[in-house]
Amino acid sequence: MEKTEGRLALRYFWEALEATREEGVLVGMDRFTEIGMAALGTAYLAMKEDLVRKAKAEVDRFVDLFQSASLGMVIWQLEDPSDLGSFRLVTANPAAARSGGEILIEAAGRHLRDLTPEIPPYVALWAETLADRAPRSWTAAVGDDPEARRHFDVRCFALRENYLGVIFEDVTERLRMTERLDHHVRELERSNRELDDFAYVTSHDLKSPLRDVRNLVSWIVEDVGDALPPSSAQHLRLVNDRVRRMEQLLDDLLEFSRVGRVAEEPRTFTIREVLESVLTLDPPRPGFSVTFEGEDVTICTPRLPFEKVLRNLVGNAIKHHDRPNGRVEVSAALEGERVRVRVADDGPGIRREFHERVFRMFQTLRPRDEVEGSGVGLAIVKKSVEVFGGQVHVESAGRGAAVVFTWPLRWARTGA
Amino acid sequence: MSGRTVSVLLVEDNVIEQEAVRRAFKREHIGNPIITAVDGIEALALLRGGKGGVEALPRPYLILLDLNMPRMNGLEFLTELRADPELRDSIVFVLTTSRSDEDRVASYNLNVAGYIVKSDVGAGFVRLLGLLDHYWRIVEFP
Repeated sequence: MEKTEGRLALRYFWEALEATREEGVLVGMDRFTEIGMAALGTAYLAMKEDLVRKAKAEVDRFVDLFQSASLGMVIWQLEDPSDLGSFRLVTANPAAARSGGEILIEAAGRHLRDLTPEIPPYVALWAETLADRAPRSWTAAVGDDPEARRHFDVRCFALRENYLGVIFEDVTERLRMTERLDHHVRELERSNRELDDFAYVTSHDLKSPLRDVRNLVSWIVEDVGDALPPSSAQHLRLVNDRVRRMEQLLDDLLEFSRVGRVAEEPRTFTIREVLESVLTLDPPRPGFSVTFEGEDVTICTPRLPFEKVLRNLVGNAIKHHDRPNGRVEVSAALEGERVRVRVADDGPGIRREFHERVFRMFQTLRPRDEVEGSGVGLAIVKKSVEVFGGQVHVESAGRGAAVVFTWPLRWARTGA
Repeated sequence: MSGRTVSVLLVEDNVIEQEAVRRAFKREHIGNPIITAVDGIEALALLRGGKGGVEALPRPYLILLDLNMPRMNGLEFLTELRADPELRDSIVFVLTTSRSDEDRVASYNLNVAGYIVKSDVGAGFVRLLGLLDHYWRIVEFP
């Protein structure tokens, strides 16, 4: 008798649970009666042998699921709605026993008032759930010792008649994991901020002595320039040159550290407009042409970082060209919610093994005495593009190289 | 204007920057006297005088102020200066390497006559001196 009742209750339980699952959250309970009645009607009211056998097989399947589920599942029956102590434990699955104690298994058939000297406060929620048949969820912490305390996500829902299903999951590990993750994220943010501050402070503070060196050199030249042997004059020119290079490096470093501190509001503009303003500010050197091809896509994003990326790429294409004449082609195309911008040149090309390397900090492919550059430009491009959620890569096989990057059509600030 | 020569109080901790200003004055044949202080505290002492029978810096004067300095930095000095009824009308130009927006806004909030970023030593300095030279020719000093 006990066993049959347990199985019937289980059946109710599964119908209810599946209904809530189908509906996504906790709103499927209304459908329970309908589904449950139909299924049970088939299973228990049909007298034909094969139907009973089928129904039994189905119930067995439910029992297996119940027994092996990782969620703790308990079914109670409220015998007297005016007495919370009259909740009777119908059945509990092994998972419930694992986190709730063996007592749950042994206590099947016994009443709450006999199981605990004091009725826990959440039992009132059970009764309310049975009364209004609306599922309830809450989280519960079990244990007084904060170190050993376990946390549970609990959900209860009314089954047929006065049966109540309670499912719960031990989320202690997940909570601890989340806490650890939060901690790591905070740490990472802090160290990133520190790194930015460090880059900012160093690049600013290092510039001051450099200015001093430049001043001192210019005074030596001013005071005794004519009297200097040619080699010393040349050395002083090199000192100046290296100082300038260092200053450029520091400026670029500073800029790199500031990428991602987006203060600017998004603006609407087209790719062609930005290219035109890049070319007005930095006209290509004689012998070079920069043209725009393809769709003129309109985007809405902070303009300065986008313009900076395009300026760096067009500037690079010309700076690293190996011939006196060359062409740079900028093109744009829609790609879903993004624009794909391509800056292609007919320069010497970039060998495959360097396609990744060119985006790294301080990486240059030619000696700095040949092509002046700090090796930060493409690192800034990559960081900017990625800050805005895009991607960048190099395409080059043989002569000519193209840098392709994506940028969202509409950029919105996320997070706090 | 009063006809008295305007003196320049240069508040700057870096001796090389000090010399840069002095040399630039000399190169442009600007004879106005330059008095230097290495930080805000020394500058205030010079402006107020009194200690050890030292006279306060006679007017008219113009202050060229660096921002990053030990003990009392430029903005702290400006705050003190504007709170001092004797000195609050002083004309101050900030002369700094800082391009930070916060520094610029804070300086103008403390009523500086100009915020000048010393980016390049050469041409920029000459223009700055041209500005100062015109400034004290044209402007009536307090």
